[in-house]
Amino acid sequence: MELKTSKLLKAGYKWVKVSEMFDETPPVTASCEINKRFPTYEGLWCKLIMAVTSYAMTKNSVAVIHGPTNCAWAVRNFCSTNYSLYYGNPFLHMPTTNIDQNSVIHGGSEALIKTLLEVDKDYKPEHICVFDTCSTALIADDIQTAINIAQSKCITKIDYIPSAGFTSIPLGKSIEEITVKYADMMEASSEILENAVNILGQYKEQQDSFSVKKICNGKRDGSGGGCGKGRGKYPDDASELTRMIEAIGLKINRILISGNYDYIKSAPQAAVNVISCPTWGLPLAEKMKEKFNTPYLRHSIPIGIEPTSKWVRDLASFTGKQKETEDFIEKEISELQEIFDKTRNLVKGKAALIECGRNSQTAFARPMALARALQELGMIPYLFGLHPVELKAKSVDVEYFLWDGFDPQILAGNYAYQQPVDITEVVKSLDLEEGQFVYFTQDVFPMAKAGVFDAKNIPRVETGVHLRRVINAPGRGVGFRGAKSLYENIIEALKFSLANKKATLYGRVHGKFYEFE
Amino acid sequence: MHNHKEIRQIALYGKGGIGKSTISSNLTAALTGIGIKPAQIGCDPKADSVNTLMGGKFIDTISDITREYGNSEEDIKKAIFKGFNDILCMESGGPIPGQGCAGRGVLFALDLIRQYKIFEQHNIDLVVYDVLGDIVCGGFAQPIRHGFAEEVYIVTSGEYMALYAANNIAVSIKQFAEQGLKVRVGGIIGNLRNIANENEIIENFAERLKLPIIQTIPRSDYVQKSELQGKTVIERFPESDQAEIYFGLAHKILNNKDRFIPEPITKQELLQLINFNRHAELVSASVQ
Repeated sequence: MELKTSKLLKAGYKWVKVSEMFDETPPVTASCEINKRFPTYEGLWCKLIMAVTSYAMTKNSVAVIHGPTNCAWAVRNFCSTNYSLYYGNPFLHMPTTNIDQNSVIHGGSEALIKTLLEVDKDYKPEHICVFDTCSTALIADDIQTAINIAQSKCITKIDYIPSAGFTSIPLGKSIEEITVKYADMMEASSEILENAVNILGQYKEQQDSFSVKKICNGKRDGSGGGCGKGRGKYPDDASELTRMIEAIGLKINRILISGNYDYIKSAPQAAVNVISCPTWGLPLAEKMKEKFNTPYLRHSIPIGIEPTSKWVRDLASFTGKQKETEDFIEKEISELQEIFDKTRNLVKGKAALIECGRNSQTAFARPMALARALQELGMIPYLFGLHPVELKAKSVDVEYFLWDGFDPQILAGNYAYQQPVDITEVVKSLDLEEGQFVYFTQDVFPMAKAGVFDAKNIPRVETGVHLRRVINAPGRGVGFRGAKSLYENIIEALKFSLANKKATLYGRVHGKFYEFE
Repeated sequence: MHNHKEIRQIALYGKGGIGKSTISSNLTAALTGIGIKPAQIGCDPKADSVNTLMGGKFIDTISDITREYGNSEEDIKKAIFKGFNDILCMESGGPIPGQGCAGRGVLFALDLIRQYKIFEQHNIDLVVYDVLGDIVCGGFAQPIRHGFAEEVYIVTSGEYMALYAANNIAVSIKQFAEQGLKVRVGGIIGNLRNIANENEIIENFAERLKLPIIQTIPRSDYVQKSELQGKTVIERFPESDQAEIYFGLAHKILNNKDRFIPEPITKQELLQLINFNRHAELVSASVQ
């Protein structure tokens, strides 16, 4: 597609298919090619950060950072700022072995053993995980031997996740690498529970979280109401997936990655794994297949009626629950049909401008799944704001959607790190007029910047983390009820755009200030 | 009052076990006999460089001291020892084998010595750094890379692996020189092992690397006898021929003003050099 008067053209941006952008982007390494193509982009991450962040989802556990105190501080800061709001385990203890110059020279094994025994005694955790850092990896501390020595003197299970910062990889790859380590915490089960299902790539925190219980009056299905209009009205992702699984006569075994050690350990009891988020779920599913022979189903992140139906049917065909499933799907669709038709009539033929998260933490699978659901409504989805490097880094997500036959248009270009392209330029690039598009914002981070246009005339649907999620209840879009939530949001946004209201304060204050270029 | 004279600092490199510590200790011991006040710094976690200067005693290393007490000036003074003829003896020390980072330990120790101006405080004329076997990592290049010693002597025998290590050291020094560092080679010290054609092999090697042989030290029972008593040859057998050779080495090094950037050879060339000498040996044997 040729760009028109947009400044994006001058800057070398272009609309291509996701698969094309994926193929055109060089491999994500610390190579000159990447630096040349994306000069402002950070790309590679300290592996320790995401390793500990991933582990932070386990409860009653302690992450022992085998390195200098500042490594733990950096990770703590990152976790607190970026993730803990959405985890059911908002605080992870992470003491360090406090490696200093002397420990680097003489080795840190003694300090590690001492720390592990102290942690076992003082914290009494259910699980300890050791993370090494640059300093201890460079001197090749024999961490496994130190763990073995400490393990012989304490009952708490101790595992090790290699996480030297200099072995940096992009965040997406880091997630893939770390999530599979959860399989090491699991134990093979002599008995497989019939009809028991694990959901991988999802949190279960809402089942335990005090704040969510309070907001939703303890009712996870949304019937408890929320803290304001539209809030708490729809179930979070884990609850909706659970509801659908139970509706066809199956039961939940474990929702991972979350829970305490005992919860995670017994995951191999399940008869099958299903996946919510591909990046978080698929690598672990593959590892569990290899290690415990647990089969898995590949359909992921089901947003919209058809993707949800496929997800449930996939599970049904594996478990022999076809009859129950068809009845369930028919019932759910019949309940949704009216609002689906109404929404479709409003948006059919319009462009869906879906903004992605702009930095390495972007939830890439979710905008893709949203685009798939909007296509089902007759819209033409266009993704933008997703850095090509992150697309490459989360190849599991891309491969899943391509496998499912979905390959939408995406804006390719040399995105500056965490800087958005201006939505008005995106509109110009597609030669769109007012009334021809709906703007779906995603993952609005504190650094995010608004477009210039006056939001009063533009239907704008918030799908992102901060504005839509309830604390400790991440994601509210999957399943049949998630679809209903999405349709209601779209109708509401369209209605609002016609209400002739004043521009938003946000748009008025920040709009021109952050104009593109 | 500190002496502001320029302190000459030399480093001895060579394959592990080639005899660097023996040569270093006898060199510093000989230097004291000709009016020089030397220091010897062992840069090896084994911490056995100054053993024969200390009457066979193993001293506390800088690494031991900083680990136990800290790294203040007062702490570091605990790692300074006076050996034979008041030679200032220190060992960088380091981890036990298989742990930690010995190279980092060397760097840390040398930094502390420099920071607290230990040599200036003790009015030292010449420092000998006795460095672990080979430049195996950045840490062991510290004596030359960070400007501690700009004058290197490569110790080798005529054995293939010793020459191989010597050539590798030459590679490093050439690279440092090309990077703008002032480090140069003063010459090769041949420490003979009594293998066939050893002198010729070392001479050929030195010629190929465009380096002079500053001294050839023959194998001698005096070395082992004196070491078994925790002494240098200079101390135990001062009138021996072997002591004379060490005195000669001390004089030559003191008077040596020449500095060279080596021209290392390839592994293939090194093999050819060795094989040529083996061939000559075989020819010689067949003629006899």
